[in-house]
Amino acid sequence: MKKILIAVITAFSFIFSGVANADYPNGPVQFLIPWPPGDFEDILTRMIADEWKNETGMPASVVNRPGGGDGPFPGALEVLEAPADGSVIGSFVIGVPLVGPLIDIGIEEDSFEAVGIFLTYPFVLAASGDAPYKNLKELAAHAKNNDVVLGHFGAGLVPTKATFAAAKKLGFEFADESAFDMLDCNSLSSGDADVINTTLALIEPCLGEINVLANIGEERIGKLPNVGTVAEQAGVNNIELWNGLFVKKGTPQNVKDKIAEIGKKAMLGDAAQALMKETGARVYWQDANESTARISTDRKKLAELNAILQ
Amino acid sequence: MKSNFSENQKFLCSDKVRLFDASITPKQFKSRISKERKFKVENLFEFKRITGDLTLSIIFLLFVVFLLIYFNSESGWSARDLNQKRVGKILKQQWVGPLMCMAILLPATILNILEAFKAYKKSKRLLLPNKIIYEMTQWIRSLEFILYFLVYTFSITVLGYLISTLIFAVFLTYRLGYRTKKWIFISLFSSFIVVLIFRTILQIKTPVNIWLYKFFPENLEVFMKIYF
Amino acid sequence: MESFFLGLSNLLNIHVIIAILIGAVGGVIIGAIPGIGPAIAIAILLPATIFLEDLVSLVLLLGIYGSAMYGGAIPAILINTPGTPVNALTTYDGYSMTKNGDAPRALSLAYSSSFFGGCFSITVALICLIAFGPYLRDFGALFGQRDIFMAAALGSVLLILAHRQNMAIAAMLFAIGFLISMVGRQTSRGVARYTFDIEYLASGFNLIVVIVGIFALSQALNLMNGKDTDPPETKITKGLFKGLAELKKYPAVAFISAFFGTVMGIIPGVGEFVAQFFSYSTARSLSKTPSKFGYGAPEGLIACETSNNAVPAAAMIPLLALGVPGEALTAMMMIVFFDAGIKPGPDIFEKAPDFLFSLFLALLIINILVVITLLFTSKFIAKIIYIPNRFLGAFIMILAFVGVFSIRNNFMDCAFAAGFGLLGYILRRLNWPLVPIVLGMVLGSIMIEKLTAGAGKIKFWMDLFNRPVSGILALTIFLVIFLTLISYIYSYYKKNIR
Repeated sequence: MKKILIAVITAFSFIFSGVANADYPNGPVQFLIPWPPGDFEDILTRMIADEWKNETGMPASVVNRPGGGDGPFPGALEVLEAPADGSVIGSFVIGVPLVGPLIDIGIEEDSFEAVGIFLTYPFVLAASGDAPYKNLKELAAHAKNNDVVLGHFGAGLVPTKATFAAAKKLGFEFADESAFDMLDCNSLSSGDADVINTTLALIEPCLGEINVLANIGEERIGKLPNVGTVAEQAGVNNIELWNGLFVKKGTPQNVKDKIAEIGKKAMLGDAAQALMKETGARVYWQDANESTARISTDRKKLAELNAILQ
Repeated sequence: MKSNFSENQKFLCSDKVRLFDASITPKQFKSRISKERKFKVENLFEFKRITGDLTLSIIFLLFVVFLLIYFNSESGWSARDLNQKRVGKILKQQWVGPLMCMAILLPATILNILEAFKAYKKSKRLLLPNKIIYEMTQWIRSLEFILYFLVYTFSITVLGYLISTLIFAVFLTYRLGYRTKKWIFISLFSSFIVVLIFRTILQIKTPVNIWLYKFFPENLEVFMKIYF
Repeated sequence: MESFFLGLSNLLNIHVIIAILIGAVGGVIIGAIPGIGPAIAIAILLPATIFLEDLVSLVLLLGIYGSAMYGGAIPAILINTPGTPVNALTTYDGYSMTKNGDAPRALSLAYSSSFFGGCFSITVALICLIAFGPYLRDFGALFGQRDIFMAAALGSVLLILAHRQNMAIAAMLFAIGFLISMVGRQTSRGVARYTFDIEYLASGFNLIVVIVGIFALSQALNLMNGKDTDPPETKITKGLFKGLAELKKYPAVAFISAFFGTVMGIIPGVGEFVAQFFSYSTARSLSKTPSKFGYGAPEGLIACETSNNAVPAAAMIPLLALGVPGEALTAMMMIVFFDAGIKPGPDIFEKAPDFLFSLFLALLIINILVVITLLFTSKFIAKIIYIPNRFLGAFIMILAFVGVFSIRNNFMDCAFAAGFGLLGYILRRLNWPLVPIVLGMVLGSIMIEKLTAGAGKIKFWMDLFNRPVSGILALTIFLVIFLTLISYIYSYYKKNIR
């Protein structure tokens, strides 16, 4: 009886030794997005997941873990809790490596290692079509005598800080501000906020009817050549909102390389580039070294913004 | 004067009136109202307070008092800032939610305790069966199964999902009294199907560092970790 | 209109079709087992289906949701035990028919009336979608954060008031559920409530953990501590098609019950019980033979089954349009939608109209499939009701671990689920309602989220009410509370005036 058992176990282990000796990926992976579905990072990460399935044959799922007004941090913590073997990959915005270490929840500056940055959001300040201002200067003039309420994705996040810094530099103050889980056409048309800080994808359906006041980023958006950047209009630095793939610190290099390879292929592929042309987002691939350098630069820019707001 | 006694005696000992008829046996006793006639839709949604009600109400009251004691520090009430010109800035503060809860909890708990107390008094007065001790033993009996569940949860890190589920299923089946070979086999088989569907096919996440698998040869260990 | 065909084509994928089949048949079996309801099944399967494709997992769980009530009628009719809690009223008329030897007729009548109820509410939903769909975007502009806050508040008030005889208990449990949802830390808003500096509490309680604990584990404990019922052998002979034609004899009852079911489903907070109660009472007052109700009146059976099957599809409407779920099952479907990449809310018609059509069409297909399956396999499915209770309880316990652990891979979650299981067990023994805790968590978190987000625009207190929708809803809340108070005072007055 015992001999039969040993024989069976050995047989199994030989059959599946192929499985054992295969290198990464040898199991399903999960791409974790700490935002509700629908936005650019969601669409592009799903493209990466599809590419993953085609390339490796292993299942890849995309999970949304919105933080309910807490920003991306609860979702980011989930990636930290997973083992450092590449089974859970985070698709994070700039706020996670930059703002995360500043709030006391367990993310440190070196908790995550960047695999690649692939998206720059067309992050804009938008107001509804019948608002009496079309750019930041007019907004400043209007706000001095009237109440203007800002809607954003979280007070500690980079674009919100850029907006507040711009407001301070232009000499006005928002009467009040609220953190939302989702900011889209409905937020403006239902009157939940006067000015919202959101990405172009979310206000795509009503783009023709609303006023885009400014763009938060390094360059003007291709689709909206008449909208100046916040840097141009208010004189703050041009920190950008980007999204990249991150893994937990200590993940083996071959894992990171594999993820980078597939990510690059997906992002430079036709579908992603077509998305870029349609929507005004910038889709590219910056590998691990470039990304890490960029994160350091952005840390300094954020410190500048914080200094303005003091 | 005629003797009333004798007439009464005649009446009492008359054959025509039988006060106690031994031929009526219990089986022949039937309720004149058949059981089904008592149907009412309202009875379906009826609510009556029963034995353990007062105990649970008191426990809830103590819990609410506990929450109230810590309300100041834990919900941010101590950090409140009510001098704001805009109402919105007050509503955004973190104590608004707990305050709304407390505003509902306190009256509800107090009303509930009063009602429970009234029902308790009534059941005592009517001498209804009211063994609180029995009710409590039922509650404590269920702790046994909770203990089994927690041990099962813990043993998954030690023995791996497949083995601990099989052992747990067989153990519970045995404990619940299904001790024939047929039942042991059924429980083994069905728990194996469960493991197969959820772990092997759907790949739900189970703990990764399993003590038992460390003793297997390399290939088997990886296979077991992925599929079981 | 093209969204209609796009939605239909989404369903023509082989994986989706298999999922529909498994969901429909699985749902009937789950409903047929007295002791497991769709709530438990969905709570356990939800985290396990994350790895499937979006529409596939959605359709699977939807199948369970839509077909459980068909299965629940089987034990209700055959052995006087409701398979799901909402089939409780079916036991009266259905079991009486069985006792008269008419089991197949009762079963087929139950199936046909469920089918009618389901199709009625799905048709209403589809018509609304097609007719009002394009206007939903402008309609959506009326619904901002403050309005949804009021809708959730209205749902909470209606939920508490629906428990007429134990309002204090319902209110207390609702508030406790509300509080549980608020435990936790939100760093970007600088919020930390009731964390007591314990790390586990700082991440808050997850809804699925609480649901699995309160519904599944408590039911497992209940079954294991109880006794095995030994139901008598009931044979289903031929004649299963008799009842189908009988539905045509009572069109008024059928339509009225379906209407009540649909309306009660749309109103958040009110659920199948109130729908059944109203339709049963109305059917009885309209009937020519009211004394037969409870002892085998076909109208009674039709009233129950039609109304309770009309609720699921209708309950989807406030969920999809506003993002406010009306009952515990719908709240879980909301989580399913989130995982499938759909965010319910006023702008869903803009963003994903084909999804809406796929949803309701899938429900329709499921209804049709279930009826056809049941007509031919009732005999086999009826054998399931003989699974002994205590064994079932053990099984639920094994499955509960699956559900709880796959959410956050956290052992403390399992411990807390066990704790909630004990609480749920005690509540069940005392006949206290379980649903307010779950809905307190869901509606409470929606209320706080919307209030905090909408607070930016609230300058004066009146800003909360001076929008058209939130004003109307606030007025409704006030009216409902006022009317209930009046009726209480009136009945108190009547009792004490001799």
